[in-house]
Amino acid sequence: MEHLDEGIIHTWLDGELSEQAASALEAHARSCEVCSELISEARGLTAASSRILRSLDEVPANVVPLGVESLRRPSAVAGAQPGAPATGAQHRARRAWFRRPQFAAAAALMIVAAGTWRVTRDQSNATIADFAAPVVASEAPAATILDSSALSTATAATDQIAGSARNQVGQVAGAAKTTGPVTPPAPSAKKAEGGATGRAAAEREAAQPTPEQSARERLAHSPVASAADAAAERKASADSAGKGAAQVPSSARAESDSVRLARFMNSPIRLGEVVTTGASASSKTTSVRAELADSAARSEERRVRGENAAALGAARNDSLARRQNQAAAPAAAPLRDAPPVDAAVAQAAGCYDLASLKSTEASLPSRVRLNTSVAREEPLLWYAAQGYPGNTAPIQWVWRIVPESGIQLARVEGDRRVLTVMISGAAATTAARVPCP
Amino acid sequence: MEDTELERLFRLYHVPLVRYLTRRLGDRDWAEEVAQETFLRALRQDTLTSERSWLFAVATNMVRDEARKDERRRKHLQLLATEERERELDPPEYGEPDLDRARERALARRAVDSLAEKDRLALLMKEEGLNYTEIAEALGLSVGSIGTTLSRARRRLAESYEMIQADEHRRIGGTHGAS
Repeated sequence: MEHLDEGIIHTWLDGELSEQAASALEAHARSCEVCSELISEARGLTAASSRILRSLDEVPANVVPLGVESLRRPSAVAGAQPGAPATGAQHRARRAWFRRPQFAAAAALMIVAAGTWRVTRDQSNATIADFAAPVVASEAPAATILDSSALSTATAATDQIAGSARNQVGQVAGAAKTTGPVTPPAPSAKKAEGGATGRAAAEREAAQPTPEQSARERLAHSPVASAADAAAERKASADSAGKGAAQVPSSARAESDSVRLARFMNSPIRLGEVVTTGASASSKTTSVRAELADSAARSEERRVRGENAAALGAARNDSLARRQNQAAAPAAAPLRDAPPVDAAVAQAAGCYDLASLKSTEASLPSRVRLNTSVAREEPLLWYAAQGYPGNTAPIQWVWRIVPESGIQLARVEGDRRVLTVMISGAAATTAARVPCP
Repeated sequence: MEDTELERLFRLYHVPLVRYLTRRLGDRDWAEEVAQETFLRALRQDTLTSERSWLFAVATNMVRDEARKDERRRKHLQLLATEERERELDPPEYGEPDLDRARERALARRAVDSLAEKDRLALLMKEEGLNYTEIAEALGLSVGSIGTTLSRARRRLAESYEMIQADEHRRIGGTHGAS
């Protein structure tokens, strides 16, 4: 018997070969070393091509689809006659800028940023140290120096922050209701599917309003949340249909924050959902999720602040000592108002030879000096850096410590970071430390 | 088509269709617009037989028609590609820098673009779970030829990727340390 055709092998691997042909192929492969190798190779090619194609993806899983009603909009239908596909320009013109999901995401994040900032400013105890303490408790050996009262103080403070932030976010989202829908309306078909809708659940919650429920209710009535509810219902409906179970009850909203967090990490994106990582030992974050990545990143910011402090033993200890002495001494100025030069920052500052880094960026200096002066504070602290010999003005370089990754160097032009490079840490070839001139 | 039927189609095929189109076009916005247009056309159909292959075929044809349409569109694509490259160098506000991932994506894009159109489409459709019959229907090919088409596409994609990657490494090695 001659060797197997490559197309047949792929057909078999794809499960498209008839049972009889598959049996014959398997029998032959068992006795033919060449064909066995061909099959192995085909398996490898299949896996490799899948991996290559997956790397093209920027589409997050379970994207919220546009509502069915939007497809029935007269303008949408009129713009697409049979045989005359609408151009991208027509599509874009059809979708106003404020209706685009990117804008909705940006708006939601701005709401979170504003709400979180206000609340944090109001909490004199809500300093970096408050985030640091729980992180240290869970991740650093130095946690043993923390007593339980310190932990409970930090937890209470962060609980309070999160609760207040939820309310404020809800208020802002409620106010945003008058600005018009951000996403198209939810499909009407869903109403016929029975069960508790997200909006109905929110309305029931509003009957016994607590501050948190009120915020949720306002969010539920916001245009953004309408799309969120629609998406949630689609998933709930799909899940129940698949399992033959009843609709997801509204009580599901009352589940613990940690359960919710674990659940939504694998659930569809829900625009405008309030997310709280309440049970986490490392942080307490309240945000409105625009996209999964945005929400995760927002949480990360808190975590980064905490871990930065956690990694900086001296600075953290100082903060802890300050907090422990608060009863006896006047309140210390919040750290956020005077960003400290952390020990880790001071330790990382210095001069580095970047020649060992693999970078195609020609503008990357061969050597760089990391200074401890703060170059910009948003979204996290970035410190000044400069290439040498000779400054490469007007190019501005900044750097920061990224927990678990290392030192990140960025080139800034205006307000844009046009290049970022990890110059140390597990994810990068570590640049050599050199004496500063 | 009833709302409930369209809703079902959305649930089943929107995500894979957008992913397929994004991989095909390298532009998420455009992919979503084409997908929306595809479902819009499905809405006008009384019934759909072989609904998955129908949706993918209509989406593919729409992309093809538009791509052929005029030079302006091609220029727009080039602009999008430029923006995409710039975006890869511009990390998200809160995200980790991931130049390796961006570089890998660029390599993958070049490798996929190097495939013949038929091979590329068949491979992208297979990745979205279409079976041989559906792929054959969508692309107007015989079912018997799909295995050969896919095996050729996979081999060429992997080889092309490796070749581009090797070139890239040589290039990086050659320019490394400049400045």
